[in-house]
Amino acid sequence: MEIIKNSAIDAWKSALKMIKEHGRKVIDHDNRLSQELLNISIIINNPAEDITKPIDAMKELKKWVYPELEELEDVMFKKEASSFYYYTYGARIFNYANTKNQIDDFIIPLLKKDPNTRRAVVMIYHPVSDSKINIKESPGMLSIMFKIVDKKLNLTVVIRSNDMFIGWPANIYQIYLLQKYVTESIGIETGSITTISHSAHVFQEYDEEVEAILRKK
Amino acid sequence: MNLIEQKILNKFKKEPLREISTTEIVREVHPEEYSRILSSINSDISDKKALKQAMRKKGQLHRKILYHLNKLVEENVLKIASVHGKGEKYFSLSIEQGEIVIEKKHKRIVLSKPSISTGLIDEYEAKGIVHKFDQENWVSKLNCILLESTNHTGINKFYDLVYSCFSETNDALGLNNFEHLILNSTPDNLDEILKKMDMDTKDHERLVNLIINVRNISDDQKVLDFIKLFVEIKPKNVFLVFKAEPKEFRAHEKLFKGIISEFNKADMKLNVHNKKVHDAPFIMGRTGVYTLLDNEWKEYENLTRGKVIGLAIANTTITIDINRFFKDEPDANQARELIIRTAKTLLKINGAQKKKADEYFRRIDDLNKPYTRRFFTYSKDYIRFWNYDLKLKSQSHLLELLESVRDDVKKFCSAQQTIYKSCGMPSHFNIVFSSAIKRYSSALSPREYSKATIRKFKDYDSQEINDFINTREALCKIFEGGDRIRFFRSGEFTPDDIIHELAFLMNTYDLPLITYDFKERRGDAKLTSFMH
Repeated sequence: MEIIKNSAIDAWKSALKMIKEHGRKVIDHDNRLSQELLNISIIINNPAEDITKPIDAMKELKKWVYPELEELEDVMFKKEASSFYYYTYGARIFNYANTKNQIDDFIIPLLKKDPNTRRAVVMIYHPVSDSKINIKESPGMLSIMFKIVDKKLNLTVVIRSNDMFIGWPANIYQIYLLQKYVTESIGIETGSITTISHSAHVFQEYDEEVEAILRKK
Repeated sequence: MNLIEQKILNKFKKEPLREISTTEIVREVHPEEYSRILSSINSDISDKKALKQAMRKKGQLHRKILYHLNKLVEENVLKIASVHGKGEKYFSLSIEQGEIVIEKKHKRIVLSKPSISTGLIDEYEAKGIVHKFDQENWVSKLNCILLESTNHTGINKFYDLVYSCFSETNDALGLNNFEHLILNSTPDNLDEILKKMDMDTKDHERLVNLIINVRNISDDQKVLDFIKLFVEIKPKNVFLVFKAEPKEFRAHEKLFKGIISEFNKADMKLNVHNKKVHDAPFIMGRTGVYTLLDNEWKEYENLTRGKVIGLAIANTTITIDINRFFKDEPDANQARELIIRTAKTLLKINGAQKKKADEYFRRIDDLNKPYTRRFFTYSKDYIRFWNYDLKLKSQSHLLELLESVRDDVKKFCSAQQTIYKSCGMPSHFNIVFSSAIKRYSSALSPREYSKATIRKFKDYDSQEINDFINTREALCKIFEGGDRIRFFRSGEFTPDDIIHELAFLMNTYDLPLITYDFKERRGDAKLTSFMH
């Protein structure tokens, strides 16, 4: 299933609508009821247009405490791993396995050297630490592919398990920040962002709030 | 910069939100010297002259450190935050928030104090309805930690760990399976440690719970000897909690008769944890009782025990004064709104704590590596309730209200965990309910709810006592953060009577933690009377 939109808010609403209309009902390991669709691909042609709008919409609900933009940025770019979190995206991206800065030492120099490369991939999932039976927490985002097309940088993110209502707004903003960081370093424009969510789900307990978002003009 | 000043400032750098006592700073700056002085003061073999000399040295050390502290106050780096007890000064950073840079003779120290907005509950705080616990330290410290005694063979080494955890917590510690150390230590050693614990818990204003798992007691006499020692020292801030199933309680009947007899003579409280009802340990603090959920405890025992020093049990506590809140006759929605606002405030504190956890809990990290995350896995934030009386018309639906808001709070926590997980910061955030106790704060409204006084076994047949127990049983189910029921025992009784009554309570009701208080035994109170 594919959704193609110019803005982040339209893409998000279409995905929510699609899951509510066609998603199958699933009960997860915590006994929570959700609706799920498999392998949804969402393409946002111009993410820069309104990338924070889904977050703003979540904040307007005033039901939860959504992290501030600075906090989301901090998590995405903080290199140091913390003993207190199971993992952080920043540490996985900029200090993978405590050894590799995947962006500054690989993606940026590679794209500069070979703008047509198909090798510009960042891994977030780490089988050595994440593929363990008893572990409950492993990263939702698995990998990010960077591809230059027509002098614009396009990103494709693969997400294992994606709470499309609560999680996706933050995910898409953080991915955009990374896209911007790389484009500024290599001197090109931002292109599209695609998220491929293997399990795209919405929990039933948020039905009322999802409806409120869908009704919003 | 002078070395002493450097050490003082480093202490504040690590704990920028805390008020720190002069004694704690003296210990930080001169740990070995201070420990030698304390040994001389506590030693039974010290003669009067040696004792006097040790006291003089203690005073000298205090004056020396106070000189430097006062200098830092004059330089506007520190301020005197409060004065407690016999005039002991407590110091804190002079800035409200932001950074101070101190540069002296090529040495530079940057101290920063974060700010956390609690605007959501400020109006309730101003009315005395909401009470934050130890706001100065609520980000940099944990409310409660459980430490495993069985990880240690010697009580002295274990006590070093306990002592070091006084500065990681701001309320209580639970020492699980403490019987292991009672059975494996000499009476002299136990005596020395108990005296130290008594003094240190008073100095640091911390509570310590010695949790005795009755099933593991292989020598009743040794435990009874320890109890006699305990009763003799009567440490103000150290509690004993006996964890047992009814049949284990019966199997050690002789020991318990001895314990009851000793506690009765000393007007002390007997705390019995009925593990048939709830298996995870109970720890009593100044805020109230702490515990974990049983499934968490089981998971910990199966997967983590032995790999970590114990567990973080609680992070932060906020208490709601129900009596004051209901004075304005609010509706259920207003009550729900207040609790959700409190939950959102706790989330902010939790976030601020996690953000700087590497800095605040470095020592805990070192002690638990590489399993630090597991140490923190089950730790919760607490919303406690004070001064509720379900008999009042305005509070007659309180049980149903609490039950339903508890479910809302659970959903809120679960959504917040998903949000943070999606953002790449997966961590644990859970809030549980519990009741507050009088020690929490002097600013709480005067207590007005009923207490149960038992004069004879037949009193348990009375309607009043039955209603009292049934309500507490229902509350215990809602208060997943732990709760205890206290019975005052008055009139004439023998240890056999108390054993009989406790066995009856343990077998008949779902009461997880029962306290028998002997201090009213000579009184002539009603079965249930109001406390003021």
